[in-house]
Amino acid sequence: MARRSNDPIKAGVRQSKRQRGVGVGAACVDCGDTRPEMLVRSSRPKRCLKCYAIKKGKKATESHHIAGEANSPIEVEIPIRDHRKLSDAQYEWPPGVGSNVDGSPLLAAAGFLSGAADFVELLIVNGIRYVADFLRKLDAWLRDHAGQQWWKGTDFDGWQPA
Amino acid sequence: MATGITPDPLKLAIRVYPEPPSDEDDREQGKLRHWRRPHQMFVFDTECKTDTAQALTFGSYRYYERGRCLEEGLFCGDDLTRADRAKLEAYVKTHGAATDRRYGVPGLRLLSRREFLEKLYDAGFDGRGLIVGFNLPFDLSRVAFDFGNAKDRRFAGGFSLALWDWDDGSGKRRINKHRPRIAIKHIDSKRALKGFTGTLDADPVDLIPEGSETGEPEDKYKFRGHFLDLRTLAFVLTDRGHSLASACKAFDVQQGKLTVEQHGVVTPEYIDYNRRDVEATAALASKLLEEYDRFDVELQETPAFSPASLGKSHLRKMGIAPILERQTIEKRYLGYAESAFFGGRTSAHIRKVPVPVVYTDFLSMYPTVNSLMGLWKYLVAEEVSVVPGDVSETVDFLRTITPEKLFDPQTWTRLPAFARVIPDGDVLPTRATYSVESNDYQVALNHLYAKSDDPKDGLWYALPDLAASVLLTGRVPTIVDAFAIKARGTLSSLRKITLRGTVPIDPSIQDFFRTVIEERKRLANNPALSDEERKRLDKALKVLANATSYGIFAEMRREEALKDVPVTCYGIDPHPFTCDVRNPERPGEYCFPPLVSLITSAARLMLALLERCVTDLGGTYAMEDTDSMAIVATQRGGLIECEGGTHRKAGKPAIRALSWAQVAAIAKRFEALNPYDRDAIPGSVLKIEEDNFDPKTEHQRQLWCLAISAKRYTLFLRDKDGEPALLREGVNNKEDRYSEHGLGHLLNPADPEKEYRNWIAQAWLSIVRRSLRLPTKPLRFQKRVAVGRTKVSSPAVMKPLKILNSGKTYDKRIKPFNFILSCHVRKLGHAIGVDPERFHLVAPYETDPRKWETMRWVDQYSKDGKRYRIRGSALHGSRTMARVKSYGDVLREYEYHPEAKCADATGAPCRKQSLGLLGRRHIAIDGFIFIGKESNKLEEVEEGGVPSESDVYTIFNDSQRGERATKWLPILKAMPMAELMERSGLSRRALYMIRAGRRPQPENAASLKSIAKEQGK
Repeated sequence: MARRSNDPIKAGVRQSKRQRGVGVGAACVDCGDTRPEMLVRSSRPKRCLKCYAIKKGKKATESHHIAGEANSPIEVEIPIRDHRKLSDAQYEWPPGVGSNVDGSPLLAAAGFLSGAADFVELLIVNGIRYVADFLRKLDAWLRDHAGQQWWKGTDFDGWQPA
Repeated sequence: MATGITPDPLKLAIRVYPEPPSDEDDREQGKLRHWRRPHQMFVFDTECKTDTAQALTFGSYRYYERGRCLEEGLFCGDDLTRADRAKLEAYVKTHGAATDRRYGVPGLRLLSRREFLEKLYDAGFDGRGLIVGFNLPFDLSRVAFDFGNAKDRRFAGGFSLALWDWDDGSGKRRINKHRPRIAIKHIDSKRALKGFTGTLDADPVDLIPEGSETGEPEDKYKFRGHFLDLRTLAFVLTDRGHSLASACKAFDVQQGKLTVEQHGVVTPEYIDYNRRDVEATAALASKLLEEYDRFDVELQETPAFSPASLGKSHLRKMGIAPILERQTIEKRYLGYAESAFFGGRTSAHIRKVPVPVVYTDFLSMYPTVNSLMGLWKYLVAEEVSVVPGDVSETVDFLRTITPEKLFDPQTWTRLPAFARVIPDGDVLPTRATYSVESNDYQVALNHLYAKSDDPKDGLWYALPDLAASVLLTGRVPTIVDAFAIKARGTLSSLRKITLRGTVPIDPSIQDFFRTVIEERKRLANNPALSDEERKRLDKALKVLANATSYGIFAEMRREEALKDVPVTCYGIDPHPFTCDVRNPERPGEYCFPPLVSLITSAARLMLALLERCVTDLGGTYAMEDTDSMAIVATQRGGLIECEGGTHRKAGKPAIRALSWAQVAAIAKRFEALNPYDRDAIPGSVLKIEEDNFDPKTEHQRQLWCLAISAKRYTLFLRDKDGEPALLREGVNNKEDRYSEHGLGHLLNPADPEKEYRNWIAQAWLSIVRRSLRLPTKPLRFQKRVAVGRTKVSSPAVMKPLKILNSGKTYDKRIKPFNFILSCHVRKLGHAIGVDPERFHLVAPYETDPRKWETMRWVDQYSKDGKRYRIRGSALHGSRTMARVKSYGDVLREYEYHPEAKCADATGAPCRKQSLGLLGRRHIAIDGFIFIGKESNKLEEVEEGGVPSESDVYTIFNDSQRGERATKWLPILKAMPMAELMERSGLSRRALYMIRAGRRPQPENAASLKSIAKEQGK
């Protein structure tokens, strides 16, 4: 998720190590995903977390500690690639919240809020992206089947951007 | 041998082509792995105290990702006072970070040194980002925790800095062996090799090579880091040394440097200054990388060390592999060619007598002679071969040499050849120690005489040097052997390229050297380019032309081995010799001695041709320097009084000045040697320099020249009253025209902390006025002790200073790359009981001149770092005190520095008091010393960091040509064995072995040598 990092240098280190671990130009042989954080370092040939799990006959979901393991045992089952995103997002929580070494109830509460915020953000982002992607594909389909300017003479005429 | 002349016997220093043992590691390093520039950039700069230890006070850093500043912070030294720390804390509370508004961390952070180092480790090692700075060695050693000698062979002779430490539980800080150290090997003032060392139990992810496509760790892999020193990159792109301020100016960085009243004291302004430096460094990095990318070459910017690296990358891009990589050439020919390699012609010809001159300069000398000889064809040839030459053919060719013949460009195409001559008074370049005072090798053009007619005593020369000798003596040298270099076919691998995205080059049909020079000139008339782009492109082409036309073919890398290594040397003899040396040299990738010897030799021929043109008209010259000559000339010409002159004026010796018109006519003759497209470069390759013209009126003006010795000269003007005015940038000329050679290393005596070099101009003006017999005022600083500034650039320089560091924490110690002071001991001014030849004083850096005479100075040669006081005024040294030179002494020596490689009017070697017209010396070859390249450390010798030039040359001993083999062994062999046994006290068996060539023990060698000497009498 492209947003401000509390520790951009550490975030850069994670990114660099992941890229290094999978090698230059690596992509999932099944779905073509090239994001280093989504690729399984040990897979040969390279596969993303989801395709790797499917290939291994495992489920493509994982349990996610929504408030961080140190703050609450509550887990939710989410897609494996979303789990990676949410886990990465936990690195960007305010310092001390994720680790909460001495079990501070306030930090635990902060963990809940941060986790919930990440989760909602993921839902919104994923949901909005899904709809946007759906609309783009529908537009392409209509161009193929109803002409380049399919909206002409339909109820959508007049919806064009000014 | 000419009658009536007794040549001075001298040992000649001859370059050899070395072949050290093959180096697998080195080859591995040469292979560039696939590399993409990291998106992350960690930029930092430090400020330090101005005391002797120059410890870290504070610094600042910025972290960039894809050009966005995401984090900024300050950090402070471990022993910063509470008050200073409070100032930094107050500063971060009242100032925000200059980070990206959307993605950056908003607050300005204040970190401890250790916290900062965690950032550096994360960004530079774990994250493999660029570590960017200006003069990184200095900054890295400020933030270090300890230092030692680099053990890694690659960095041998350099420092190893320990940055990361840990608390062992007892409060003691220990070096963290799980983190790398940073090894730094100083090359010269612009370059240093830097890299992370290996670590204990490295994390597998750290063992994944850069650019790996598999992501597999490799056990032996060491990540060396991406250290981007902008001082080096600016040098790569401009071929000149820069400060941060000058680099920012040259590359139009808007955020230029600020100035600060006082360094070393923490104030908000000083913190602003430091932050601005980091900002400017980051902006400069972007500009330099942008410029670098325009070259579009497959070379990482971090290991790019010089313009030559850029030049080599362009050749590679054009599909031109090094000649010696694509084919085999018998090594002995490489040795012959290397032995014929000499630098440019530089000398003072009229010494210490101011004369009116016209200053001339050849247009891009090396590319021009390259082009004239057609050397590009060797680089792109399918096959380059050595053809043993026909001696009589060479002699016949030389017999035809006249100035007219040499003004025919066709003649130059026949010059790529070499010949072995038995010199007998021929005027040839020689490299030798001409004066006992200056212990360095100088190249001179003198009358040379071989020991005998035996071909073994002959020397190899490039054909242009022999043509020059014919021009200057009128006779052909005795030639005993010859070979030519031939090119056949064209490489099939050649590829077209576009230089810096603008200038297309097709190497198969265009002469690269010529095209680059032509395109530079065409730029001025290209309306499609902005002024900025034109300026940049001009600079880039200039750098490329220089980088590819000479240096890369001469490249020798001097290595520092941990023990002696055997080197096979190819020199003047058909068979190589082998010797063990500590500093072996390895020919560079594109090294090809025949080309480089031909290039410099042809440049000397060009100057010889100019000399001949001048002397044919009865004229002479004041000085020459590689591609320039100051010809004695006035508007109308005529006689001028000058010691040593062959003419008489009012009963006094005089020389003939040519008229400006005659000089212009000579320049016109060189138009015939213009190898360039006349539309782009019309006219002559010999230019009457801009200095000769008034910048306002553009009318020619009368220049004057005062030359003392090679590279020590000034050009000046005289007003109607005869008062001199040096040529000064922005005053009366486009650039300063007084030499700093030999003075540039000294601190500004008026204010040692200021780089202002006006004092050198004052000194020169004073010298000029004295030579014109005009009244001079004493220089205000002449009684001050002359002190130079140098750097602790290697463990060898640090060694004697160890005593000053003993028992001190890192903060208080003299650290690697600290500045230190160096002074010059007067003749007989050394302390009593020391070896005057090995006595050199250095001291921790101190900017207050008043303290220089009260502080203790360390003898750099003493094993235990013995310390002395210095005095500028005492009559002699004592056991604890040395008498050193003042600025006045140094300037006096400078003014009287003899041009020992030349002869005075009487034919004797030029001495301090010699004046006027100098001539060529007559030199008899009295043996050979085989040497390596002139090292990069010559810069440090001048600064006083490395005491002697002999410490920077590699000498290759050829036992067959040594004194033992050539001088005293023949005498011992001729002596009856019984007598030799009696006189030496050695056994018959031992003497048999020694006479058969075995090396005797040192004490026996000394005794046998004295026996031979006595017997020889």
